[in-house]
Amino acid sequence: MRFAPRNTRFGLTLLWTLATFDGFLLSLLLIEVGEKPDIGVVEAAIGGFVIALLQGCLLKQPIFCIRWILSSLLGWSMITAIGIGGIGWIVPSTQILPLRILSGAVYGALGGFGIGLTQWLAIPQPVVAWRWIFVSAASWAIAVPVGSVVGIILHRLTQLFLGEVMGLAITWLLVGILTGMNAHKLRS
Amino acid sequence: MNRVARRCFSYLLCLGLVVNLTVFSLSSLPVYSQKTSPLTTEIRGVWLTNVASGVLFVPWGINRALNQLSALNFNTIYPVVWNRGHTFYKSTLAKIATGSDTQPFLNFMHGGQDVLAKIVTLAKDKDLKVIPWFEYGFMTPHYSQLARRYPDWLTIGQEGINSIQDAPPEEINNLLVSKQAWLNPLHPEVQEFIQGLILEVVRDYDVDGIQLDDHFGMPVQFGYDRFTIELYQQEHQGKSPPIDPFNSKWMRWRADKITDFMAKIYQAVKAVKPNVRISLSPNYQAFAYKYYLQDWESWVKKGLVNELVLQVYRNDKNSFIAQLEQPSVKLAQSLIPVGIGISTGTVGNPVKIAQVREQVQIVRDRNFNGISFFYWESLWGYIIPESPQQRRKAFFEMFNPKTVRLLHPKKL
Repeated sequence: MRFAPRNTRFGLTLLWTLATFDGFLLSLLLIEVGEKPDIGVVEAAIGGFVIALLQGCLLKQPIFCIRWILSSLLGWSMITAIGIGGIGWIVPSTQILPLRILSGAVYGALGGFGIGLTQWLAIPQPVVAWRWIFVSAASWAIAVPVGSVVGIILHRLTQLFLGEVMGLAITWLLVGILTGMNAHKLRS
Repeated sequence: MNRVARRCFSYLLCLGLVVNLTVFSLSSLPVYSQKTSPLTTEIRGVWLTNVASGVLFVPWGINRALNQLSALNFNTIYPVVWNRGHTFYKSTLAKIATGSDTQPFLNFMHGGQDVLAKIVTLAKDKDLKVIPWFEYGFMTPHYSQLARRYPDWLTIGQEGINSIQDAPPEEINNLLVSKQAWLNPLHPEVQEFIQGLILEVVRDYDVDGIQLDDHFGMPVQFGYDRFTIELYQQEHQGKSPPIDPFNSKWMRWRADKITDFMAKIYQAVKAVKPNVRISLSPNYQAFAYKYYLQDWESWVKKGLVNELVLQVYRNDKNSFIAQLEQPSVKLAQSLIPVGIGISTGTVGNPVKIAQVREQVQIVRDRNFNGISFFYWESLWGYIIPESPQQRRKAFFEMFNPKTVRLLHPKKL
């Protein structure tokens, strides 16, 4: 299960980022990016599972890894079911930039909070667990609007929907970096 | 307290997850389910190629494509079987000529499985007609084994010019492959090889037809290779071909030779399976003849083609309509089923669904026998302006049972 260099904070951040980003790319084989109604609970659960699976491989104990995967799957299902949406695979329908930034920040924060909340269940250390909820919420609140803006710019420049998918890739890269900076605490 | 709270929260969430997965898994499925009878509708085809497209390579790509096409009431696929000097099925002839029985990467990705056999099996289950498409015709890259092993099979232009700037629409921006060598359509060994490939497909697979396209000809500037010159001299009292490649008699002589070969292919295919359709997807007649010596109007008149799918990849509405109203097209329409090839876009030229919808309507208004879209990846992949789901919805609306257009029986 251990792929990270021994307790090197930078090394783990790097691996966590790679795992998250690669998980997203892998998820594209199974999930088609679309607008909010297009990504159902099943799609979000599959995507969440793929990403958590790769992230879980970086955690120390197998039981933690399993709990991490299950809690992430739960989180993605929950935020999609209650109407926040599968934020990792959805493209906002609005083309108005300020609206995208605003809704991206709000839904990103809510979605990140939801995912962090369920992942809280998997983290054994209480202080780290509580902190993780806010790390997750803040990371998504930053990453979603940034990715969304990049997405719409690329979409307009190329006239290809692929631009939006690349925007989502940026979102996931940022989420990987921001959560990865705190991931070392999960292994302590 | 913390542990109790976590446990309660976990139970609650798990319960919620079970309920959600049960309820939403049903609602998130596509609603495309109204099937139409394949015998009563227009041609609704799509080309599946290996260039700028992952459909043939990615895991479940073929299954997913055929499922979606069937669900949206498409009824014909034109999968590539010949591209860049490689076959996309298990070919004994290709193995002998090039050293590979299948395109190597395709072979690797499918673990040696015969992809055409897989496509045919899956398509038959979904009521989709399969018409394998010999996309490259006589064209082959310089780096291909075919070009390297058989340099005498290639035709050339004057002053030894041995390549032409040509590329299929999906790789128009690919500078690496835009210079193509050309197999000599007049050379008996080339004819034997190409005809052999076609017959392999017809004989070994349960296909509904085969398709040749605009690359089944000879660029007008070619024909100055030794073999062609000697053949010309034999038939013209020792005279060499005119220097002007556009000389009308010289053009006619070469075009007629290609027509003769087309007749041989027709007879050979029908001798193996009389009901297999010979489909042709050319450019408009004037262009096809002037620049590629492909006199498809004569082919239609001589009964060498069973189905014509004219490529009309135009963004401008008037230009699109003008192509459909050409005399050669009208003549073909009076003799055989004629469909129109519509571009759904490429990476370099994305096409909005509104244009596709408008062109489909124009085709239907003029009583053509159907449509084929170029190409799979731009139907509802990511190289489109809209979201994939929006595109599928639009195609579903175009092809739903309420808009089914019945074909006149004599045309089937």
